Amino acid sequence: MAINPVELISASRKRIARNAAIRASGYFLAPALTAIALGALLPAIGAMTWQRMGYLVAPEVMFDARVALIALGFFAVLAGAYRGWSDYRASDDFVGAAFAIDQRVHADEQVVTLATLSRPGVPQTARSSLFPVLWRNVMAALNAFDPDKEFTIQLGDPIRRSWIPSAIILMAAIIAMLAFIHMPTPLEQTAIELRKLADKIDAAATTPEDKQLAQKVKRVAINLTNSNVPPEEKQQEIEAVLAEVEKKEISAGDQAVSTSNGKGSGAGASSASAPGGSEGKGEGGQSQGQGKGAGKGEGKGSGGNQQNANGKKNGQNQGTADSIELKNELAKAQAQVQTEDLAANQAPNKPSPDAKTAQAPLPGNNPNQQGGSTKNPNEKGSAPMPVPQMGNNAPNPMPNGQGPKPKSGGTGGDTHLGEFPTAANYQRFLKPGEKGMGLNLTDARYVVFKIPAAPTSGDEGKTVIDSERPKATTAYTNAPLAPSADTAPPDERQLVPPRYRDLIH
Amino acid sequence: MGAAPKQSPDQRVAEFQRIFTRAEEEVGKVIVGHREVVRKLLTALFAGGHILIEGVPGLGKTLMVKTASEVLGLSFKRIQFTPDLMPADIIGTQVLTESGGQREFVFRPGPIFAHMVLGDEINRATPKTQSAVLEAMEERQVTVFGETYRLDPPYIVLATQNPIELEGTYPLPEAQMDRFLFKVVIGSPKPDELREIMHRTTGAQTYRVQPNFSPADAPIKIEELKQLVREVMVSEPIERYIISLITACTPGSPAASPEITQYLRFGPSPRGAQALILGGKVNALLAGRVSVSYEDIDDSVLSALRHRLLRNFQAEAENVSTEQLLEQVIKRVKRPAASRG
Repeated sequence: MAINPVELISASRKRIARNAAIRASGYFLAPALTAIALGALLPAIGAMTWQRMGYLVAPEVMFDARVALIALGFFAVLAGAYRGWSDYRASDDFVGAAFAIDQRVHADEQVVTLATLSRPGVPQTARSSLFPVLWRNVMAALNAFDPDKEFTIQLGDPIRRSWIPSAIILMAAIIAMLAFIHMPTPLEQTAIELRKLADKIDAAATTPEDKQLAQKVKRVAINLTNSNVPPEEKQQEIEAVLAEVEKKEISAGDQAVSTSNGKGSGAGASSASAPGGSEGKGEGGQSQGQGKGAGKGEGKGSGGNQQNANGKKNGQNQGTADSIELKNELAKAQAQVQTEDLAANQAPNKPSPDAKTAQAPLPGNNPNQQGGSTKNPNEKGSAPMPVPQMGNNAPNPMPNGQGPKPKSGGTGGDTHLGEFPTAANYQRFLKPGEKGMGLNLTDARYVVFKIPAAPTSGDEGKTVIDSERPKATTAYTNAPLAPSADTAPPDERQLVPPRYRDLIH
Repeated sequence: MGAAPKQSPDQRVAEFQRIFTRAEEEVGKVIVGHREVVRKLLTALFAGGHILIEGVPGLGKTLMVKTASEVLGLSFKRIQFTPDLMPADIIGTQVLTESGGQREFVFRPGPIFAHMVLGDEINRATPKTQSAVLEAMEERQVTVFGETYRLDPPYIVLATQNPIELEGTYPLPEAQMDRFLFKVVIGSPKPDELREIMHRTTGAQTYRVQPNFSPADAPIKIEELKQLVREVMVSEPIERYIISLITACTPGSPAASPEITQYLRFGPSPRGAQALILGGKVNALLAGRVSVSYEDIDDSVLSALRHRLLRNFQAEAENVSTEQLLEQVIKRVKRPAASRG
């Protein structure tokens, strides 16, 4: 088959132009992919940073960074497209294609000469009488020439070179992350924990109610760190979720009782550090309950026949543990919102020059202060009543009532600045081995620690040593807390027991 | 102009290659070495130009030209230029003759009337005599006493210059140097070549060259081949390359390198570009192509441009040669990759 050099040059021209466009765009491929991938994976990277290293990026910063990265990626895509189009136009040249062919077949510019004389617009009279010789020479030179094989897409160099901007984007993202990550505030930490719990509930949800609860917990977690949401609204949301959790616990307890044939008798005494310093005491059936506000309960119960409820018990135990954890986190959130609100209100006001009728704050006039409990302490407790367990089988390793009796008489009423100290539900039960987050004792006047009961012996009477309990890792002295700022009389100062010093940051 | 070519283009190209190669070989049988000079001589002949050969005496310049003329079947005349040589001695003059009882002035052509004219040591003649030769070179005609006499084609002047013994010489003016298509420099023979020269010139055996054409056919054939050279095609990128070379050699032009501006007073004229193209065309045909390549042009740059660059005093003082400057230009000027259209 005879080769038409002009057609061959035209085909090569299109192919060269297309390759040039792809090649030019290739320079932007890696940066675009890097930026878009970073933008897409940023939340996962942020979560990993939090989980593995304990650092956090503010959600709004995270959002801005994502938007910036994805925008950068799309800009790179657009730039690559423009560059490709531009290079396509520049390479879409008939004589240029002839030159490229010439170099490949070593035709000593014969193909170029033929192309210049064969261009549209060049009159045939301008051709020499030797043109047929040139045509035949070029045909012979292009006999084995295949544009598809000769002009292949070579992306190696563009991709190799595009690693530089990609690395720059990556480094910039890492530097930005390093610049913006911070240790999470207690509120953020609580919000994160609440999100986790919400996800956990959501994953294990079997009923629509559970799903709804998970959604509500998520909303609480989101609003918790949202400064645009007023504290009152946050408190209301938290209380609503708490109420729902309690309601769920009660229903779960009822079900547990109904499915258990055990008959146990026990007396539980629960004392709740209720807001306002009230003391609650309730009878929780066979076991201790946990009242609202993470009330401290003590009880002792003896389980009855429960062998047929073992299967259900495990699931219930897990549910109870999650429920307790959720309540703990919600209580923490409530306390933190309250503390922040209080701190905001106690911040020095900057009265405007026109405001001449400002009043000095009066004791007890803080509108954000939580009021005392109106519950009758003698009223029957509403805490869930899990199935009584025997001895160490009890689902909650709660105190057995042999510890020191709860301090009666509320908080003692330190009238700091003329106000009763607001009760904060800071109590938290740590799991064995869990270190928990540090307590913020910056302005503490006193600290109340709950000391776990002494190790109890098992059935064989053998003493079990809790080797995982918190131990001091640094040298300590019996130095008083915050000696410089403490203006309280010496008898009010409390020394921190050495074994708990490492719990305090 | 000869008769219309009856051969096909391919045959014409093949014939050109054959004749040129054979002439080279035949001259090479007599002249030892100097193959590049022989090639340039033949190139200038087929390109329709003249050639200036620079070399010390005794290198076989005269023999080379004479042999080439014999191979090609062309007439040959030699003029030894001296300071007392007059234009009439070269061009010819009117002599009074008596014929049939009547006296009349008859033009007696000088040695310039030949196909190949060797002007030995042209720089020894006075400018007046030189200009007479150079007019003939350019116009291919001479005028004597108001009558114009055409020089028969093909016509080529091969002038030689002695680079030494410059006392009492009249260096060719730049304008006249520009009329030579090429300037080639003959160097001393290498030891092997010198040995071969001794064997050939001192032995009893002599070699007679085999002419390509008979003296009657030679002018027509050579004119046909000259016409073939003119038909060789030059692409637009090659033309732009030649323009780039010329402008790069012109001091003060934007394309000129600092060295060119520093060491040159004047650059090549348009004749330089013509010389490059014609030289390239002959080279292309010799390679069996009908279009000029970059290599064809590069091959002609030194011989076509070296005598067209006018060095300044600084270049002469610093002994910067035009060859050095041209080599820099060739390296510096980029070959156009594609057309701008």
